[in-house]
Amino acid sequence: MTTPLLWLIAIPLIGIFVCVPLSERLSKMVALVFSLLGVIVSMVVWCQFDSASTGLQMKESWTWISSFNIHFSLGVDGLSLPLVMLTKLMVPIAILSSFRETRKPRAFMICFLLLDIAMTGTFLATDIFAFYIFWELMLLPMILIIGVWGSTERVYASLKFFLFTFAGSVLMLVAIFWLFTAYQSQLGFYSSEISSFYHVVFSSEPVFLGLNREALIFLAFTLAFAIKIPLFPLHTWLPDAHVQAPTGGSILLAAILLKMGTYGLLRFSIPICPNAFQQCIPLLAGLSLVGIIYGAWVAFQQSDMKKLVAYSSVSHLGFIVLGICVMNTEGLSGAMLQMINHGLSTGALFLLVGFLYERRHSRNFADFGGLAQVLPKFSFFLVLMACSSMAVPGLNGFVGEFLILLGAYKTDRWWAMIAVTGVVFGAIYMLTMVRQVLFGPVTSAENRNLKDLGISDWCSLLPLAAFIIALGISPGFFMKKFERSLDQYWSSFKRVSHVH
Amino acid sequence: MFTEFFLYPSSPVLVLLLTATALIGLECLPLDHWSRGKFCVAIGGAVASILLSVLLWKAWPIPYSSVGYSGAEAWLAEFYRSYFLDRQVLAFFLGIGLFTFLSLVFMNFHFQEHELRAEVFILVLFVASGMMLLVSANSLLMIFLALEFLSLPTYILVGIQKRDKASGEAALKYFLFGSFASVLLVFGIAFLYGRYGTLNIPDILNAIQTMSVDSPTPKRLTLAALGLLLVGVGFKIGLVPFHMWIPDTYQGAPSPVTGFMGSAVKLAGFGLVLRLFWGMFLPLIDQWGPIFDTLAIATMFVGNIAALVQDNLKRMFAYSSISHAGYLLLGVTSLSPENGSLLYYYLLIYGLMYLGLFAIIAFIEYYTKNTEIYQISGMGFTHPFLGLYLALFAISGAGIPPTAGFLAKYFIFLEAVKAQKTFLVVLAVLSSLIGVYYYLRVVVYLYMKESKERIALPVSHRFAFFCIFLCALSQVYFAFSPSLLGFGKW
Repeated sequence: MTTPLLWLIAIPLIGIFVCVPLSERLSKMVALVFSLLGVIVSMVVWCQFDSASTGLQMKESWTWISSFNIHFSLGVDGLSLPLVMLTKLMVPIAILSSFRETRKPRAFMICFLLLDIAMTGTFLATDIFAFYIFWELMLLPMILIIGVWGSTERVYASLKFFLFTFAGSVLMLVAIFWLFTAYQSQLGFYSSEISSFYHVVFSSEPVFLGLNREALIFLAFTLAFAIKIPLFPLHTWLPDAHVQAPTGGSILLAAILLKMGTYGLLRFSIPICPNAFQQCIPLLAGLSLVGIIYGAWVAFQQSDMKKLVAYSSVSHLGFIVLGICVMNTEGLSGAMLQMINHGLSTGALFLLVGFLYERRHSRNFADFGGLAQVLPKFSFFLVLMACSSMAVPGLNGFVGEFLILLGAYKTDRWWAMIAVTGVVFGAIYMLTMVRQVLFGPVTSAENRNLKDLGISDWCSLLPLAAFIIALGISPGFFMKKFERSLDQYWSSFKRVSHVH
Repeated sequence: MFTEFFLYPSSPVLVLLLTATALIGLECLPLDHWSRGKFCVAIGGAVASILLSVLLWKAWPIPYSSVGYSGAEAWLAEFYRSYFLDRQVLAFFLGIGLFTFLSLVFMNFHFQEHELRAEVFILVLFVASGMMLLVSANSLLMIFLALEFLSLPTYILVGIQKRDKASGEAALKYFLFGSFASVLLVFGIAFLYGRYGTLNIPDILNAIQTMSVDSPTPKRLTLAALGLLLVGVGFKIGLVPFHMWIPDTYQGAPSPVTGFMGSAVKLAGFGLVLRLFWGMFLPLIDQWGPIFDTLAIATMFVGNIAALVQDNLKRMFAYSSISHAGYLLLGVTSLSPENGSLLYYYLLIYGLMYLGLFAIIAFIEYYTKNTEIYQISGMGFTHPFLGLYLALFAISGAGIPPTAGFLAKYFIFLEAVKAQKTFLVVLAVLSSLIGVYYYLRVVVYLYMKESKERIALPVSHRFAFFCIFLCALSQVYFAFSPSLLGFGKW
């Protein structure tokens, strides 16, 4: 255990090789065991993480392509630690939720483990080349999960997801090339450490459409991340992908993959191009506000539970981007916390929707009603998760949204006022769903003899519920691990922007 | 003297020629049922050629490379003037040897019941030696001879399925276009000879260099020769707008032959481009660079867009090979001889991808006589290994990480950005974005469509399967240890 970060990636990889020769039945168990091993190692990382230091920790590096000074290097800091923890928590839950899949379960499990590798690697990579490899690697298992195990329109949805994301990342690739070259010409040697690109100096002469290099690089990076987030109006792939994906795929897509976008903003766009970011703040904040209202409004119009949760993600991710755009510590802490919260609550909501769909093959409100009488345990969790999602005080969502709104108020009170309406909308659509599905008389005879939560559902819901309550009651306990990194974030950024 | 300065440096070529000649001799004997033995002889020749290239690589620099015109006997000096060897050429030798070896294995499978099975081996060996002579040519005359020497057997290979009309049509088209290209090349060579009075490439390079120092705009005759050579070469490597023959020829040819043409012949074609444009016309890069850049962009887009609408696997990947030529051409204008290994890496990875791909298509074609894309529906689950390999080849061809195909594109594009061609690279990545769609279609058919009927692909040829596995492995392995492929110094 001298190198825990490598193990985070190696364990799922070993899991894949173990799964290949096993039977379909056994491979599920093995995949679960390996994902739980990942949880254990991630706890070791959490304990070893030194909250007093703000830089990268537990760094490891292996030479990959020596002539370009490219390394396979890993490291963890306050930005990536919570997201790595979230990844490792959600993967076993996604695997557990897929236990009842009968179509090619072994290949399904291998896809999840591959996705685990890619997601963890994306957060841990400190080398831009390795980051890009992991970033793209993530797409392959995801399109298979959607395209092979999804519902009727799965092929369309998976191709749409792939092409949208890929379109963003190829331009990011050109930006990476340019940074690589610029670093080499400015400092005389190659480096592909992400942090080394923070020191690239941009000339201010316009090169294309009146934009200078820094703005172009910023836009190239941010486009890739905005598609992933997804920021309005680039969100159109999301409802398709979510609705068509199987439950496990939806959970990971919502909980982890969307966070890659916001993580990328914090890791790449902002520190590499601080001035361009400051110029683009009105644009980004405006789009995120539109996304908050629009996502909530469209969610309110849905009659399909999965679509509702999908559009609520657009709204929630708008909050996160807003928290980043306000450029103060409150906003950033709120954004960071909200990334975790959204992962937990949306993951749980997808799990519950999948639970219903499995029993009734429907996600339409109209087919349900009065489930609280039939499925009391299920209903308890649905209410809890809905409350968490609409930021009821005492649960995790409240802390995150409160901090974001506080930060927004400090920067521009109008932003906060517009965003607050999103919170109200959030309550409206979530409560509408809860009312129509859970309460009232039992309308459909088919619903009378549904079976309540089974043991595997308890296993996946309980940890999520525990974290949701714990984060709501005592966020400081978790935040203190990485709050120093967040405090430092904008001040280091201001220093950088001062230099140029 | 004879061994050291003739036999040793030219041994990789000689061994192929000797093996081919020996096989012709064997054909004269009454050994009709000994085709397995003939296959072993052919394979042995290819392996010996690879080993000799490795030996030469390890022993570099050998005394041959330092021999001058004066120090040697007259005939040896003449040999030296037409045969050139350095590590770059040796790397191409290795690639050609490797591709020949794999092609022989796949053709042995595909032509197992063909009446001309042994002739196929002979033809492939002749093509291989022609390709080696082409990439090592030091004289324009040698280039022309080698080009004809490799083209004629290739025409025959394309049309070897005599009863198949498509194969005949493909061969005829290839022959007509190929001979037209040769005519243009000869014409260009004649202009150069008329202008400089020599056919020796380094001499012409010197003359162009001194000339370009004297007057910044080169003489018209040189420019005309440059244009003719460019068009002739453009036909050979299939650049837009000289690509018309590729889809029909690649589709009509037997699948392993297509794989051979897309990998080895393309490698040799780019070897020719490097000999001509890096070895001879490098001082005139301001003249041919922009033309090549334009052609490269056109080639990428035409290849990728045309491939989008194809439903036949062979035709689709024929167009994909056109688009790859575009990326490679971008590398030719952006790289320099010092980091030419990046281009070689691309060629090798792409060639291995293409060979493996067409080996699988050959399996499908052999058993179903049909290469429409719906043939592979559901193959990812009915034939897990072949399906996985096919998906891997498609992903690598599209340049999606973590495959070697991504690294290959990555470094070509990186060097192009370094050469101040950011706009071209933006266009190139956009064209590869278009291309991703049809590569993904392969994955979609493999895993996301139900198969109507299960194609039986018996595992009778374990060695051919193993070679496909090697091709697939190379796409992953070389992504993680690319330094093996000569990254850095030649």
